[in-house]
Amino acid sequence: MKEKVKRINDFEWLLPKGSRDKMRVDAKIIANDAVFGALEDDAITQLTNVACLPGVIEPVIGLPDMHWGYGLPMGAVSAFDAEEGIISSGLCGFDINCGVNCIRTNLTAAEVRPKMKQLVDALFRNIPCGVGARGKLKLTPDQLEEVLAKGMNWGVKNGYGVKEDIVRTEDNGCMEGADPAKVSSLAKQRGKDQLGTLGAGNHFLEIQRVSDIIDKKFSDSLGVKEKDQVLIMLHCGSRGLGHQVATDYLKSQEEAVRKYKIWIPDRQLACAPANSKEGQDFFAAMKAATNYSFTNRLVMTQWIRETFEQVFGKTWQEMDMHTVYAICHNVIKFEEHKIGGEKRKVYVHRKGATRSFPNIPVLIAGTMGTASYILKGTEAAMDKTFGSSCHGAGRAMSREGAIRRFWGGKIKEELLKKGIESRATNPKVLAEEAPLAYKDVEEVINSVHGAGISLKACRMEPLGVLKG
Amino acid sequence: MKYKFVKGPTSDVKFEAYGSDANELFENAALALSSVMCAVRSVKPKDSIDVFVEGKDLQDLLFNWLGEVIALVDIQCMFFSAFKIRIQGNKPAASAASYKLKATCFGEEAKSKNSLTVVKSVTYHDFRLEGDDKSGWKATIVLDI
Repeated sequence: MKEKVKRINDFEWLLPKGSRDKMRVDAKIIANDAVFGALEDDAITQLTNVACLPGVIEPVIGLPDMHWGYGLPMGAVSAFDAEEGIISSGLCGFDINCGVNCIRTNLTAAEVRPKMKQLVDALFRNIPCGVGARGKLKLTPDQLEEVLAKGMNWGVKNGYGVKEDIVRTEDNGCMEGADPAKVSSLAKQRGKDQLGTLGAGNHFLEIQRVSDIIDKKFSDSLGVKEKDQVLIMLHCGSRGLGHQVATDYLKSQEEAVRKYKIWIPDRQLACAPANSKEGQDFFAAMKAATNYSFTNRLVMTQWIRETFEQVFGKTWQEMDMHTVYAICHNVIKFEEHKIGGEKRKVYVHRKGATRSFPNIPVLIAGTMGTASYILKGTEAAMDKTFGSSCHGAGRAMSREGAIRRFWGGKIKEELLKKGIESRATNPKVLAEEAPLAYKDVEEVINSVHGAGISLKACRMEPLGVLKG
Repeated sequence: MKYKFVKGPTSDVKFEAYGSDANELFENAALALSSVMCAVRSVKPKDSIDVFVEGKDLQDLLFNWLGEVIALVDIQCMFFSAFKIRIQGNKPAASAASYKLKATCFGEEAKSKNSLTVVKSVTYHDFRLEGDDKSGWKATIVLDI
């Protein structure tokens, strides 16, 4: 399939709709030459799968961090007509509202480095992480219902975070129209004791230093003012509750595909007409899971603040530990976009992709041991990618491949040589998340910057990493 | 061989599980799944939980069974290293739940030193169940991790 892709310019590529049978629209890939050269043929073929779905709006987008996934690539954006289109659990991803929070401080790397081991150890004690880890919060059924319906508003009401955190979060930390009744009892059972847990795999908490400020005005507006300033990035999702919602509705959409006679190229792309009961039930449940994830990251944000207070002996407000911004990168939104010269509301599915709206921050968490970025969203993104950008570096090597090739203990040593303190529940976690298992984040960021869909504002490097 | 991991999507895990009958296949598929989530050889099978799962056919039953194991880890905060399965039902799907299974899951409290990777779900991508009691069973599973 890769041989059918045509270059548009240095950062955009076209896969025309005739590239395979049943493809309804073109696909477009955002990538510079280096990234395009490394793209897997399977990932490009999977992009065409999405282009076959009913009501899909041109183009289906592949972002520079895209890689081969289950039915469609991770790092893909697709939009669907509100009347003729579908909505799909598979096109959102199982970890609903997996996303990133960025918190600033007024501390410098020089102040934090001497206490880094103490800080990472304290965070490891205070933030539950790992598979099967017991959470510290046990929600009653009513409390969980409120989290699902009200998102971060529940958090602030109960002493986790402040109103400003809500204002600095995508959708103000609560998607309107969430319906807890559409979330299964099994999902609720999984979620009631997991609020405030980090999870495992590629989820992490990272303490970073600003290495470069590229857009001083925009960075200043976010309170990121100088090199060596310490920031924190938290990458986590909706945990077992969100995974269960996505699984439950994958099953229900498999039924819907038969009921509404929808042809799908891969069973994982099960879907329902967006305006059907099945479609709207899923959307309402997905919003509830999104709200859970926003609240999950808010609770951990507050515990991070308290941990810094314990280590540095100052209040978090004295350390200016305010939210820079918080984003989603697996989510479905009903958004207005200009299509064919007219404004229309469409269902934008972002799976491993971040919203990139004009002058709104885009947070890209790099892989362990590599750089992260804050970028600025643009009008060009609204024109080219339904207001979307990449979400990370994207994997280049399978997890088994990484575990076979890298040994966790050596990765820890290598990170330490670079001045990065790390803690993980198991050395294998470090191995499977080794930096070389991922694409070069600099090239991914150069691609989105070059295409104009989000512009570099500042760059950060890790000082300490906590993984489940 | 109970199971083996094969090449699959870059950020996910794919395995094949085997069994001489469907019960054994289901046990081995759960063991493969468990080995992704925890260091299964270090997990002692000292506690047990019984679960009951339904499905409209054998493939649906397998999907639901593996989903149940994933959920159990979260709900019970346990890891599992052994399973005993009894499947009932072999009629064509005349009702929503033509197949049922009773499973006893053996394991212990989840310890962080045994923690490996969160499995978010079984996917339908390349999901296959093939074979019979005469020639043996094989399942192909892709997990989102």
